[in-house]
Amino acid sequence: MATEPPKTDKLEVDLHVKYIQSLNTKKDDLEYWLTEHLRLQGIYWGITALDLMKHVDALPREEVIKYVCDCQHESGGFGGHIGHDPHIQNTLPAIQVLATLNALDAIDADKVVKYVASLQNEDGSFQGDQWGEVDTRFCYIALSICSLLKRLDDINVKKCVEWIVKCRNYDGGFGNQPGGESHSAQIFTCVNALAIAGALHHVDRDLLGWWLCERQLKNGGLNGRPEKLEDVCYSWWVLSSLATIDRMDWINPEKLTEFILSAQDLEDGGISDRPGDMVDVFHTHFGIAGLALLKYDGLRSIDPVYCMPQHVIDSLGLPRLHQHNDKMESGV
Amino acid sequence: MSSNVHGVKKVKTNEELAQARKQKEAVKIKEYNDLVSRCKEEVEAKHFEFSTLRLTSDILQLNPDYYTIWNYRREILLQGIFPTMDEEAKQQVLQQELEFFMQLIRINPKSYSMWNHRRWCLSVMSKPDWQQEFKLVGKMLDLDARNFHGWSYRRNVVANIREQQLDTKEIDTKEFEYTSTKIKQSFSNYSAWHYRSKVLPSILKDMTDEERTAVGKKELDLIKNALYTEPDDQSAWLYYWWLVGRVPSHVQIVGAYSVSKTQFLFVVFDDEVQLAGDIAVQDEQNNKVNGSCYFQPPTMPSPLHSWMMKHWQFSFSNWIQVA
Repeated sequence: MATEPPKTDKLEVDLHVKYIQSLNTKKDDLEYWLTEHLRLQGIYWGITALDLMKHVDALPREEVIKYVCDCQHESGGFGGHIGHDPHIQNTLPAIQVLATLNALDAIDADKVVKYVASLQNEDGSFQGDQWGEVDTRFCYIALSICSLLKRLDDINVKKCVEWIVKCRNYDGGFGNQPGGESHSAQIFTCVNALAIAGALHHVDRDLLGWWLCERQLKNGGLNGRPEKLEDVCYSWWVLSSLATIDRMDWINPEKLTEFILSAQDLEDGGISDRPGDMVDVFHTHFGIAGLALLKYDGLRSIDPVYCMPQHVIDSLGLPRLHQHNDKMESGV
Repeated sequence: MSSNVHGVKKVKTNEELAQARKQKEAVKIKEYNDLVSRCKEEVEAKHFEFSTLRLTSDILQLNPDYYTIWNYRREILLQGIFPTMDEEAKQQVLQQELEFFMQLIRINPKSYSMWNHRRWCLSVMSKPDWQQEFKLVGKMLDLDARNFHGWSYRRNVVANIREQQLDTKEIDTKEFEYTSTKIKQSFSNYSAWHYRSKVLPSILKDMTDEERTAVGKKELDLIKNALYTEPDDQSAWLYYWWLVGRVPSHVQIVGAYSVSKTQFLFVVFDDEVQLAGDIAVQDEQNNKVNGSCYFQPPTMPSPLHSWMMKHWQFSFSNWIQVA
């Protein structure tokens, strides 16, 4: 018989901080080794969640910076872990972590931008690495990296926008490639890539807003596509897209908050995809990021476009490409 | 993100059980890490041989999402194995790669690395068998009718088949009928409705008006059936909305004002507007005047009711009309 998991109506900040700190000590779990290729992304998820909870110092700053730098290759791209091959998907989290730790000067930005630019195709799309996978994810990543480094002029933004628009569907959403079905995570990447490119006029806000708000299920959680199960990570993909197109009030925030809080592990910390499942740092980050968008008390505000703390984006001198946090204090 | 973090139930444990599990895992960890370091050493020494390829197989069986190991595998094939082979032998090795995919895809049907590897294999084959791929993807979508990767791969296969044919009518009709089958199996199959929206235009392309009307009526029947069966499901409603066409809403200009003795204009709309790029206006003599928006990407703000423009020619006195 399954027992009901214990319930709470508040975010267990201390438990989550401890959980994130414990991640690098689990070397006697096979899972630790099998997820090595996700380590650098894991650091981004961990650092960002910690910063939102006002505990960025819970991880050793200098050690983290050194680790990130050690993941960089001669080509300028970053691998998922030291010695792993470079990939654009690992290059963005490297930049995000360094920006959050105010340490962008630790790397050679020229090299990074050159690497990113080398992955742009003739049609404006981006491939993930030399092996040629093409996906709207990589467009967002490329634009986000170049924007954070203030080097958007080094890639062809206009062509990239043209390609993203080819991935738009009849429901207002976007797929992974032209012809691909709308999916909340791909919508996050396309909407926010367009926001960075100053091209949000390509988004039909009401049509897309309708599709996105229909992702909320009776239990308050959000799913990624119609007729799928709810999952904490969509609290981010769906909600941030709604925030960027200024339609976040189309979902019920109380019920979503309740759902995210119910997926916390009240014994060992961390947040899982659904209540009662195993936690991981990915869902912990996106659960907390979702709560930050919902202006959960005690959390710093988050930028829906960059998925980074708003104060970091502000202090980089980047413009806010959304109106979500404008009525808030700076969040620091 | 690897899918192994989704839907895994937390199991209650105690100190004793945890200790036992750790001991068991310690052996596996050692085996796994030994494999990985041996493989890395071989690749670094450029031993691009079958024995190194086997090491990558052993690692990928334990961890199919380890993208660097898939990269090693392709390097080994390209640099060490293919150069020693004729086309036929090469084809055989690639066929084995496709079989290796079939073994592993059961572990994680949503692994990006694996689907990428299959695509790569087909792209380097001198005689790719797209009909075989067509059958495979049909089976995958029978197992999971919503698998994102499955549908994505189907589009890739169909695109390759289309490229080989002068007349694409047959494949387009086949795909259209495939979406009918999938939708009739489940009216909630949003993936199939989506795909239908992509195939329908190519079906209608060469039809007469009567034929188009007939297809349209059949579409409405299908939608009606779906809405009666699953009235709360969004799938058919969205398709219906798209099929009958949406009424566009027009934005009106409230007014445009020039700032005296400057090159600046304010244009005010009755709704929020995001500008697509440079803008032209007409002056009182109906002459076109080119200008640009004062904000430029990426600092361009979100949609606004009023916009400030800077115009190259300065000739306005009061009202102007935006072209």
